[in-house]
Amino acid sequence: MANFDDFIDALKEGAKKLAGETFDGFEDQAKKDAEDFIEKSKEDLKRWTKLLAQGDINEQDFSDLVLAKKALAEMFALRQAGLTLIKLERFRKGFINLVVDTAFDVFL
Amino acid sequence: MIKNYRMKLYALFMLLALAGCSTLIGPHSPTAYENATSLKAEVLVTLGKANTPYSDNEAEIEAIKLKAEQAYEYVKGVPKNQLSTKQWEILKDPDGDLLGNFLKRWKERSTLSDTIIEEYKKLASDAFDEIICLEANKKEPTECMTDGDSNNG
Repeated sequence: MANFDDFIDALKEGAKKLAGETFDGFEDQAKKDAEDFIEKSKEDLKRWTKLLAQGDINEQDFSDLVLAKKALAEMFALRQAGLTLIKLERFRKGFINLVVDTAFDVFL
Repeated sequence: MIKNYRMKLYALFMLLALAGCSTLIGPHSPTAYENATSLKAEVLVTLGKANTPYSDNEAEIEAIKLKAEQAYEYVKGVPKNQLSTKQWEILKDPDGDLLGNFLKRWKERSTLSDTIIEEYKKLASDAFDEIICLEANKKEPTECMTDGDSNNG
């Protein structure tokens, strides 16, 4: 049974290391991206409000720009969802390799 | 001996179970990336002409609409590519709030002010960057830059 326990232990250790390497800083980066997007949106809204007050754009333009920004926010959310899936996919592939390598090391 | 055989079998089972899971997201496509980057440049140039009559630019406008449709159809055909497909849907939608609405206003008013053109160009640029960023990251981890970032305009 020792071989099997060795296999599981090595797999656990390897998985921990792989997760660390794959997801290191990912949460912080995702938060930063979201904060940057919100900050940029605030700046845009301020600028558009000023342009409206100055008569450089009309109410319809203002409304159009806000709706366009909303559409852009949806695209941003899709990008972030995609980046998460990409990370998970890299982990999945790395874990498959880890199982193979660990099995070879322990059993063969 | 039997136990060792079972262990190997278990390891093999785990591997097959993992490998059998379908891919979570479609592969990187150089064509999709190229479509997005080249169309971004073309769209920004065309939007910049909205201070001249819509009718004078109709051929160019139809050309970018066609290219956007082709780029959308291409990504739609890539397996497990729903997120990129949805991004293109939002960007190219003729009744949507990005390119669709800009072109609608241009047609309605014949020409648009430089102020509104500049604002839409920033939004369109950022929208393309969202698509480009996702596609680039499918190949390798890549920092995403948008119009609002310091070293990209």
